Amino acid sequence: MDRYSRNLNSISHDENLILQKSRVCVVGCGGLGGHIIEMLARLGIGYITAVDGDVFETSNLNRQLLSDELSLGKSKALMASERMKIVNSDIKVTPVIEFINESNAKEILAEHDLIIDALDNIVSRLVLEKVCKNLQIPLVHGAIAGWYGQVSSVLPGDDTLSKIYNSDISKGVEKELGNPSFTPALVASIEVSEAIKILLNRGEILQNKLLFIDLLNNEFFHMEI
Amino acid sequence: MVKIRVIQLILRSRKEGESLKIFVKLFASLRDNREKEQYMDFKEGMTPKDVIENLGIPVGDVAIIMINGRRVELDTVILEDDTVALFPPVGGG
Repeated sequence: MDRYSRNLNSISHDENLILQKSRVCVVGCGGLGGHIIEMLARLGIGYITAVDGDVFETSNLNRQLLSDELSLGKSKALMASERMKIVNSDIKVTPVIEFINESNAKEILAEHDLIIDALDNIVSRLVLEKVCKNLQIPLVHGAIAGWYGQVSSVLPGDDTLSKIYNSDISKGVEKELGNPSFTPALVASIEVSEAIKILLNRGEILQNKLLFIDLLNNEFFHMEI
Repeated sequence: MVKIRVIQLILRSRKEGESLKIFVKLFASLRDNREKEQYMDFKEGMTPKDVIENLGIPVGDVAIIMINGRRVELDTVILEDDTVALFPPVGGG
């Protein structure tokens, strides 16, 4: 347990054992996903599934933790599992080199304790919420755009994402605002903290609430959904 | 005491025929070239859709509408003194 000694006493010995048995699926291995997978691995989540059909390209280098100049052109999901082998060999990371959609989501997401949204588009997020609801699996949502980000924890039936993304909206403001390095790291951290609280049944989670973050003005805004 | 004072002020403003207000706050990119927050004249039956159109924002640019910290719909009726907050869709990862 020396590896996890600095997790104590924020996370107890018994809770560490729960995390080692937990199965978490991270959908998206880009800006959010890279940080999320890294944190989950270092926390000792026993089984991580890393889902992404994309490969790394030069424009990812400004923020995507799993990318570097040597990994350009390589699968993001595969790079996640390769890197975690040297970060924490006690855990298992299963890469799924696919984009999530209506037809494959159920098979990819089933058998997990928790799903983490690290996607980069609204349409796939709505698919994710629907399938998580059908499978009765909690979902931690995070999204970023420029200096702004948001996080929420969605338990089956909350339908939070269908409430915050109306069906007419297909693209977010990130298309204009881009994504600098610091926003995904922050939003990923809050998503992981929500994930750990759900797995350990501790603390307060952002259920039926959205935390909206504006780093440009240092505003953290809670709203009831 | 403060509460009584506020009620008195509201009553007085009504008596003098001054228009009642709502408070509108914009978030993130909706602030670009617009006031971050402002008072707007209250009109009986007004909805967030009216507020958005009044500010010249395309309705599709607003993802979340809140009144007094709670999410509402485009056609929810706004009451006097309400605070309306508008957020754009954030979807990147």
